[in-house]
Amino acid sequence: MNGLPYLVAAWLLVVGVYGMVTSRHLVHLVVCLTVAQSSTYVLLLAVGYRDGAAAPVFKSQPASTPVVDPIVQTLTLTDVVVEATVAALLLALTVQVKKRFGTVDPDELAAMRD
Amino acid sequence: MSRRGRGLLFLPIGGMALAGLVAACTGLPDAGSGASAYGRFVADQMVDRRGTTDVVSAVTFDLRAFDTLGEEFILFAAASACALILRVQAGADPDTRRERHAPAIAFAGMHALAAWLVAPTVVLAAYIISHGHITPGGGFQGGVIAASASLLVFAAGRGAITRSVPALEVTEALGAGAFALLGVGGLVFATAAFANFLGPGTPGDLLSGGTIPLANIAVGIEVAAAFTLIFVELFEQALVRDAR
Repeated sequence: MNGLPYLVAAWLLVVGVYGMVTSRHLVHLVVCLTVAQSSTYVLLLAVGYRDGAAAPVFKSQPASTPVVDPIVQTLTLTDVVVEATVAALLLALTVQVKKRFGTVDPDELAAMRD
Repeated sequence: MSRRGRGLLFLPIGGMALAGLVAACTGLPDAGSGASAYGRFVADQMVDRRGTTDVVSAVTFDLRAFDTLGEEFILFAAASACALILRVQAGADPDTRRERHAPAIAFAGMHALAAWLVAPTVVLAAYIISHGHITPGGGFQGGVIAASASLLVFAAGRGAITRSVPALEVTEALGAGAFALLGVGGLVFATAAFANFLGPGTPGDLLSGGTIPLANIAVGIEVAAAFTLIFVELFEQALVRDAR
């Protein structure tokens, strides 16, 4: 394999940030943030990937089998949990913004502040 | 600034960021070139030394258990913060808080299907959690599956689940506390916090891996309760809105 996964990670990050910059709905903004964050999963798993290697689980394969890096998989697990909590918190805040200001359009919210 | 203006401003900046990232990628080793020396060593040693056949679980709940403690408390804090943010207004309106009923979101077939799926989902979650040290899975994955069972309960038209908030908070705290206690156990029965103070056992057995299955169970309980709490707090918003 080549550097394609790295390029996918870079693309996901930039596309996610573009979506956040031009968002017109706070829920859409949260989804764009998760897209940007998912680039880190692709990057981490790409760093640990090994061509033709198996998963690092030895239940039904001999101990000498070449496996992919288990460390980055653990880091990805941490990453997923953090992303889920960030998304949950932001969605809770979105609910409160809707109740308080009656809109979830970032532009209208900015206009209210002026 | 208008949305169009922001988009136009982003084009050169995003383009430069993308170019910089692509340039940085050319300096990285090829994807697929292999695991780090640390990763290879861990993959070689964990089956014999810890009796776990799932190396990812061994790293999460043994070698990097201290990080996992931090991760778990991030989740704990976020679930508490969600409850705090969303409960401000629910409590301010006592009538709507008592008026709990399932919202009319579904047709009858969906209620029946969701009710049917609750028990298999719980069993699957218990399996994923209890076998986390043998096959892929563990406390985080199984906990989220268990929390999805609460979504199914809600989809089955049982808004009653929102009455269990105090129990959920206690369960969440117990799960987080149990995992922290395992860390203290390492200090008491072995040399360092989160040292694996139980024997490794036979790799592949249900009772193997020392403290790793216990950590899986503690984390599974905490994650299930935390996500259920987040879901319930968000449900309550829907219920309050429907009641008006």
